[in-house]
Amino acid sequence: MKRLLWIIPILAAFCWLDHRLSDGRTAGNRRGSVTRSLARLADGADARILVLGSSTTAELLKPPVIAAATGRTPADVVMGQINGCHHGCTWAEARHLRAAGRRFEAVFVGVNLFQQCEHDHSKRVMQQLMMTPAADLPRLLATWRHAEQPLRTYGRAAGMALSGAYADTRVAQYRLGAGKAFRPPRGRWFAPGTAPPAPTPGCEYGPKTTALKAAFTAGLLETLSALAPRVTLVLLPDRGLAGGEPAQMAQLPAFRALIDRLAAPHPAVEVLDLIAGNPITAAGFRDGIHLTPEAVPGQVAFFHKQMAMRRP
Amino acid sequence: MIFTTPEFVLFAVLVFGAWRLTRGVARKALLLGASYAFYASWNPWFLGLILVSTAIDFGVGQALGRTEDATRRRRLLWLSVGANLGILAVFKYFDFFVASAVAGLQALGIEASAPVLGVVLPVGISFYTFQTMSYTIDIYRRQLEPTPHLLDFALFVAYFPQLVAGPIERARHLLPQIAAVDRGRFDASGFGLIALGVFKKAVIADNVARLVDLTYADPTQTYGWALWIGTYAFAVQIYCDFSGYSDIAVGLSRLLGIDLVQNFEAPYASRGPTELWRRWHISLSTWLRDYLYIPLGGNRAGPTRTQVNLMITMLLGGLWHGAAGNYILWGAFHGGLLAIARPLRPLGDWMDTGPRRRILNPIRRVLFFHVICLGWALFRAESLTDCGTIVSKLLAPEMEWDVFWAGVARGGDQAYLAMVGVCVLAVVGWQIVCPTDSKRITAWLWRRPEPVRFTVVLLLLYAAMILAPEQPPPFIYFQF
Repeated sequence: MKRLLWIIPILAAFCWLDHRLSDGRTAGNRRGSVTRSLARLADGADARILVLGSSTTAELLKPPVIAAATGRTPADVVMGQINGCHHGCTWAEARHLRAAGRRFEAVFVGVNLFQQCEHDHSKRVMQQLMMTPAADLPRLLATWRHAEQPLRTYGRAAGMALSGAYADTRVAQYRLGAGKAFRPPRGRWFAPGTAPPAPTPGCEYGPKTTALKAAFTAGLLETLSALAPRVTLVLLPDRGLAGGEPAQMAQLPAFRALIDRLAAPHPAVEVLDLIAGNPITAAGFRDGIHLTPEAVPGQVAFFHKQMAMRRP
Repeated sequence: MIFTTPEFVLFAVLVFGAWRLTRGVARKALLLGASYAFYASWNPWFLGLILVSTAIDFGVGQALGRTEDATRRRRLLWLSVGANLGILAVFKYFDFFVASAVAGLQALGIEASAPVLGVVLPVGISFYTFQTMSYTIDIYRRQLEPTPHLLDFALFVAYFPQLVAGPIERARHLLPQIAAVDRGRFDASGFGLIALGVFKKAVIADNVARLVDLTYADPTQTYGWALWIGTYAFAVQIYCDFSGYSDIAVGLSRLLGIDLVQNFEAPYASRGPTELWRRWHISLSTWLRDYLYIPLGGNRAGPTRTQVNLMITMLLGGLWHGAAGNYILWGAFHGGLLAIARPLRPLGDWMDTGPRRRILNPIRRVLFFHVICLGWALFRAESLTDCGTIVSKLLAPEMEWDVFWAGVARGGDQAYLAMVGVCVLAVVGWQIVCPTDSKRITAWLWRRPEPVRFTVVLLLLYAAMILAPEQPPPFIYFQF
């Protein structure tokens, strides 16, 4: 047993190294995206309208755009968007706001077709843990049961509890001088020509693949209905849908059906469809899901048109 | 459950904790239950197959132990071999053989089509079927007495550290340890092996894999020199991936007081094909030698028949890896190498004697490493057509170097490519200069003072936590 005592100073040294590497568990681009959003929400304490979602939401549903559609000023709109934030992250953010006693006149949430599939990634666990109030942790742990590999999710949470520099945060890649050595290669040095376009992120809708996100979305809509009397789910287009890609189009009915089913129990929730009748083409996307700068004005106009047609 | 995932860590901690609290039959039952749970975590239906294989081979073993009649013994053996190979044929090879037959008929101008089963390949099927066949074959050869304990045999078949990717154990080695599981002592050096295996897989193999995937995605487009870079990286990836897994399996077993056979012994230190198969995937190569090559006649029936036996063994060894033409081609490549090497043995013996040995060894290792890489190119290719493209580019490589440097600069990939280069030099260079593998490295580490041991183990595990890619690929050999 005395021999095992050696492990105490060694572990202490590792804790110190981890603390320095992670800058006191604050370093990392993904952590930064969450903390910046929470700072914006705190700064916008008087905001009346809340916008949530991921980067696809931020590029279109900017405060001036929302303000123009709702007859408010940009200062009345606060952006709670977080990069790579799917519904588990948005649910955690909404719970955070509810626990802080915040209330809004309206909430807008951007939703992409692919986001209803689990898209297992360790950053999602980190986002959820960072924002979920302590009182809601049992509910978060229970929701993780619906994951395709729940033990993996619990294990990642344990990893994050142990280490601030755990791979999820990419701290090593952003902070260490040699960090770029472990970043995926980006250049096309191995072959002539340009790289083929990346495929549009998709989702094979099925009970197992969407179980976790469906559970989170149900909780999200329930929480948002308590945050505001009017919640708008904005269905965002992507390159596959705009270009009529068969695989993507085949999932559209299941996507709409799932969203409608989850929204039905909440009278405060309405769905604003920016997919059907959208004039955008595949060329309007710089990758599978993000708009080119040239396509944004047209999408803003389409959003305003759809907003004008919705119920008062 | 992949070994380098958080859920497996949770599973292993629970199993180990329970192992410490149990004895005798309870301990065996615990390990068996854990092994079945481990296997079922991929797909619960897979358990049915392993139970069928277990039941058949246990029964055959018992029956062989009770009869001396030569004809009956032979029939019992064929029942076991037939059942195990039948399971492999249906679940692994049926669709491949049907598709190959249809393609062959169509090439002859005969219109043909046939149904395919489209079954999911059960994880580890190639490993445990070979392991159970070795049991019945050894009993038939009177090299082993059948075990009367179904629990022991079931655990021998399903023992989770080596179930899905080896090492392929022999009953003579593993069964007595299972029978005496209470006498197995906790060996803390297992932590060293586990840490080394995790580091090899999570930090080296999984990070270089990205370069391999890029260069091999469309070989018709990839420059020849880029394919060489990708092939060097694949040599490192497959070694660190597979030997890393074996290290973890052996290390876990040491914690449970069980010794597994070593599966790798610095394979890139090989100076020729015969030596390679004594250093790479040792448990498979010895299995093929003992249960295929020697029964075919080995080297006892003249040089021509020896070459034929070598080629058959390696062709089937290639086919064992997967139901695809490139694996058969890879097997044929190594069969050809072995056939060529036999008559050159006197030259090899000459180079291996006297002071010239020290000068020639590293040169031979470097040269033969490149021959191994040509084989890896066939192994990694995604189709037979790609095999031809890749090999022709490797043998006559080209590159637009201005495009290469511009692409590297544009993507900011200098550090990544340098990392891959360091991994290749470290992994391959180390074996060429100083042929040691994980077991000896761990033994060296465990002779250091405890603070050094703890620090190195924790450093390796910490590095794996923070440097592993966020979306790690599965172990390569899980697909076999």
